[in-house]
Amino acid sequence: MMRLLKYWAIFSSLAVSAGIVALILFVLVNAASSFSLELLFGDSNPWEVIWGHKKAWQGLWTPLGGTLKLIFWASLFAVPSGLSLGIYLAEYAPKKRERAVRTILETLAGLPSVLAGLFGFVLVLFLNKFFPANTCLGLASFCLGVLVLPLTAINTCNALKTIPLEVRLTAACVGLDREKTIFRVLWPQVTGPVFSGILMSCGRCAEDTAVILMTGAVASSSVSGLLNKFEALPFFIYYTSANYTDDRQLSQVFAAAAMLLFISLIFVAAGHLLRKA
Amino acid sequence: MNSLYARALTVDFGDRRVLSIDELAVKKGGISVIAGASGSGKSTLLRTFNRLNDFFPDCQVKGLLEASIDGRRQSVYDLKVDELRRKIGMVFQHPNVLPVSIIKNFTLPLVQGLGLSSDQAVRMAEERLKSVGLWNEVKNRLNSAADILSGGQKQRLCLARALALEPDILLLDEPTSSLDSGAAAEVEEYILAISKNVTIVLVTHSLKQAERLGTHFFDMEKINEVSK
Ligand SMILES: Nc1ncnc2c1ncn2[C@@H]1O[C@H](COP(=O)(O)OP(=O)(O)OP(=O)(O)O)[C@@H](O)[C@H]1O
Ligand SMILES: [Mg+2]
Repeated sequence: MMRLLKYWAIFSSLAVSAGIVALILFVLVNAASSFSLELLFGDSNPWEVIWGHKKAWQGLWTPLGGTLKLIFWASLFAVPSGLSLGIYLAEYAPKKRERAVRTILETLAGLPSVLAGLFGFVLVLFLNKFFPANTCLGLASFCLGVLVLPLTAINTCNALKTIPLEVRLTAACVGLDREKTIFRVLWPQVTGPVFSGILMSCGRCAEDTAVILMTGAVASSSVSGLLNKFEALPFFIYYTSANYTDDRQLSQVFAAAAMLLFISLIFVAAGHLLRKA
Repeated sequence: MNSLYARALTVDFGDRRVLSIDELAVKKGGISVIAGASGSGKSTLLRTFNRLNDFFPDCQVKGLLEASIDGRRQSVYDLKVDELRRKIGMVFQHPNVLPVSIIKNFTLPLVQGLGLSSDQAVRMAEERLKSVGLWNEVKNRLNSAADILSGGQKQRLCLARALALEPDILLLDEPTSSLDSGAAAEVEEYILAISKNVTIVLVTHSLKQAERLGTHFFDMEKINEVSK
């Protein structure tokens, strides 16, 4: 019986790995035909686009930039707040409050991302009562941040809590007060796991489609800025695959998918490296 | 003159009383040994003097607790707690190095806590490491993690680190019981040496060690009403 279980486990893990490898290969092979500068910049001059003089109307440059901007703004909002909240919960909050806030955070962390998108959408409807508000890059980043924040906070809190009491006692015994103990002794102990967690959730941020779908992603945006609509890779994939007219466009979809995969992989790999270091 | 003094001291964990002491006076100078069975409250007693029981949320300490610090006898509650813990140093049974480098085990408390310059801190570290015979063993790897030291080395580092803060009193909670006999003998030797400059309260299981090191003796079973 144990034997059977073992074989089944081996078989399942092989099957899953093989499936993933096949998927990645499939994406890469289909994308291969379109790997070129044109893929990124369309028929615009690459240098002019890179320096920001011109916009690339075709190509993946703009959606790629949009996705990176989303990650940037989302983490700019979510990481500092998540870290502070995590530290507060682990070190300062009274037991009851900690448990209450933790429950809320765990619920938030398990939230289907489409609900985070809906939240953003409703927020805009609400704000519209006071001034003309619309879905935009800033809103999408904020909603993605809402997904990253609870993970960061829980992760930070857990990491701090696993540090044995002895370390705190030792720090206290040598006359370090609470702040110094937290920031000089405990915090350096957890930066590895905490930041690798953050990187991994940034990967999730990159690929999330449901949120941006409801908060301002468009197939083609003319201006960039926090208050404007934006392009992003997942939306490009979603939109183009539903509307493609020729093989070239289809292979662009696969190229965008490969790119997205690559971004997520970079974040996950960086996270792993950080955890090891 | 007394270095530590407790009267009508009780300690409860939740609703369980673990310590109840009428009066305890620890003389200044020498090594006062506290002996007693496991669970008789020796560690808890030591921790009342540097208020380390604060870390256990369900622990309640009541009674008079005084210490002679900077030549003045004062309640342990009158000082700022980190100041108190600098003046009443403590070393645990399991060598508790901070999870940082060897030298940072000194510079963190001395620079961040006490406010010395890092030069002063490094000089102090060297001096104290010498006084526990550890300097030559670590001088070439001050920046390596303190975790890689052997048990005996770690324990001597903890002694040196406590001494670096120039305490008036040093609480040693079974400092040799996690060490093999060779390392234990070495640590004992340095405890004897440093007892010339600082009042030491030593908790031990071993009667032999009590005889070798002690100048004053307390039997926990006699002073603690709870374990009578
Ligand atoms: N954090 C705590 N929470 C609850 N009870 C505790 C705690 N620490 C100690 N106690 C209880 O207090 C009593 C005294 O413990 P203490 O550690 O002071 O004994 P000890 O004499 O140092 O024993 P040992 O020689 O084994 O170290 C024990 O009955 C123990 O169970
Ligand atoms: Mg003990």
